[in-house]
Amino acid sequence: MKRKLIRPLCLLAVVLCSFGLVTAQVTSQSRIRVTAEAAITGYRSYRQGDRLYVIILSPVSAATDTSLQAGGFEDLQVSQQGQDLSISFRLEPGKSAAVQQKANVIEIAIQGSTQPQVAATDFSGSDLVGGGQARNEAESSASELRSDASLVTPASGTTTNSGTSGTRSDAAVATPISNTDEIQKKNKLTVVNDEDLAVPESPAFTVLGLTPQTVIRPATPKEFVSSLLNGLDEHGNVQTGLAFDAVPFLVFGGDTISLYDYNHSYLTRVLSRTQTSFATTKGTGDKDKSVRLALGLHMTLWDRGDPRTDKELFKCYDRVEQQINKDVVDFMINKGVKDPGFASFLAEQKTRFKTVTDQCDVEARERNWKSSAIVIGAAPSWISPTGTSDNFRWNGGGVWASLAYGFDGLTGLQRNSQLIFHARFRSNEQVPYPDHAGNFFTQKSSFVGSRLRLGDPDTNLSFEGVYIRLKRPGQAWDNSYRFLAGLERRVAQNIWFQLSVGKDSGRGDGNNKAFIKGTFNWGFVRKNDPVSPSVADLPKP
Amino acid sequence: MADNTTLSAAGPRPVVTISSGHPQRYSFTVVLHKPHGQLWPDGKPGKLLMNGRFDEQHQPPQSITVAADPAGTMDLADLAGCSLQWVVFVKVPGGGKGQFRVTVDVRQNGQIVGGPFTNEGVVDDTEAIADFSDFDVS
Repeated sequence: MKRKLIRPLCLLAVVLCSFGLVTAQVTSQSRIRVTAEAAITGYRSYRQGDRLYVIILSPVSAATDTSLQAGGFEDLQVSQQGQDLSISFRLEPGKSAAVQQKANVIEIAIQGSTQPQVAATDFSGSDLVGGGQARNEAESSASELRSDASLVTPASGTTTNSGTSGTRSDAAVATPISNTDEIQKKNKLTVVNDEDLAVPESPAFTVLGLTPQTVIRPATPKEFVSSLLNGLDEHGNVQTGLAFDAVPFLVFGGDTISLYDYNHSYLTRVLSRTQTSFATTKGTGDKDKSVRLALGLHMTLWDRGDPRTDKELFKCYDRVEQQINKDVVDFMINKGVKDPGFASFLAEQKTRFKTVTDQCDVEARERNWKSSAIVIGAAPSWISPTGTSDNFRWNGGGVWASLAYGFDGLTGLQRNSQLIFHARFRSNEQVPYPDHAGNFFTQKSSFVGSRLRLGDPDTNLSFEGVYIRLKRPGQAWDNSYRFLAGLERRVAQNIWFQLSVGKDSGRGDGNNKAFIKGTFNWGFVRKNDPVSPSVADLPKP
Repeated sequence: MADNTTLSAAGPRPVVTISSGHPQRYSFTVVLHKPHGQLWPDGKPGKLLMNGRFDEQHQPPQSITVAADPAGTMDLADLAGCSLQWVVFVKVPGGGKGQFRVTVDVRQNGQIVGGPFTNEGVVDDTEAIADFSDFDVS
């Protein structure tokens, strides 16, 4: 048994170390990343005045994804120049930019000036030596991400690469295309948002005992969340399931509330953080072919990590928006929305607005991902032992509460740690007999445990210990322990992967099996197409 | 382009109101532009009516009474051909996706004579909205 457990734990450790390394790389510097569907044929980078330009050659038809998540610069502009894509910006003092290419990825890293500075370079076509030449995917590896990248800085004086001055002039007079949506459409750009916090566990999965972790983490819920599950339940039976969670107050009443209401009314906050959910699971093993349904209610009573109440975040927005606001007022007074240049002006301002406010979000995520919070939940459930829809019966319900402590004020711990305490009671649960397929007995259970989360906003490890009391008909209370190690990893915007490996200990029935569970959670909002003209519809005088 | 706003020459000064829905952060700029080729007394084509935000400290809606000139003298006929223009930046606090709604209307004597001009939808982290309504005076 120990050998069986050690193997997945070692695998998990390797995976976690890998995630940790990736995370360390991602968060150490700001980046602008352009990803194309096919290999990018090349790029040029150069400086003109205080602006740095990166021209990506012919990515238009093949580009599928772009991530803009950089800081340390200002006045970012993205424009189309024929078949090429131009990215330009002004660096903040003391910052420098390095351009790297790996096959279909161009990455601009913004960093401090401690690294050696190299004059701007100009690479194009197939005569590149380490610059922007496309590489065969098979020739590249993660470790090959171009270390010989060009590094440019506004403090290094006049650009020395005179052989490319003509190209620079062409780029300098290029006019940005009309608006960001058009830019994104033409280049298939997607601005990746990195500010979403972890999607909370589904309340309905909680009562069914199918959350990857036993100790439930408090969090402010998303407006809509879906969860997919494929793994073992607490009794060792293979389950597949789907949960759908929503915040009814935001879905149906969000239009009537404002940030001011949210911050000045506790009732509004609690209602906006009250999540309902529906989950269904299907046993896929021989011993359990049942279908379970559950409804869940999840209320976050207090959350110091709620970005809607983060005053530091709003101060940051106010601060970074000042120059944009001044420029917008000047344009509106002197030119107005009917001006031929308004569409491109607004697109530029939107890009600036996103860039500078995203920096505030990154700082807020660092503060908020492991904040103190309190959540309570309740969920009834039903079961069809045969798996048919006409045979559902009461499967009891559960109530629970979690308190998260973010080590507020404790230097060294508050930055990357969170301790969660959790208690749960579950009644009348129908549990399949391990050795009698299709037969069930009734069980009630209590869980009391704690969970320590360590990491950063994108990747964190958790370790938990839970004391479990089980009561079955005709038997005394069975007291046991459960130990879990888990991984929570953000794999894309609003998409989270959770994995846990654990083992029970001391169960009276001797069923101390190791288990592994995993889910994908993703948050989204209701699609609601604009009903009135956007800026793109404004007439062009 | 939003529909024109029809003002009554015999009515009181029009009141422009901007409001929002959903708990997002909105920063807005509303100006009144003279017809092409004309300027306000300060020599500029546009006059700033409102520049503010709806956030944790500022509650929607916000309104302003439109005067035809800085001195506040009123001849509504002077507003004929003027264009009410607005730009709004929307930000989901902390990032991510959310819903947004921005509504602008013009009232005289409490009655809506322009709009409500509503722009709503899903915002992915940030959004920028702009629109205008030309004034007719009858």
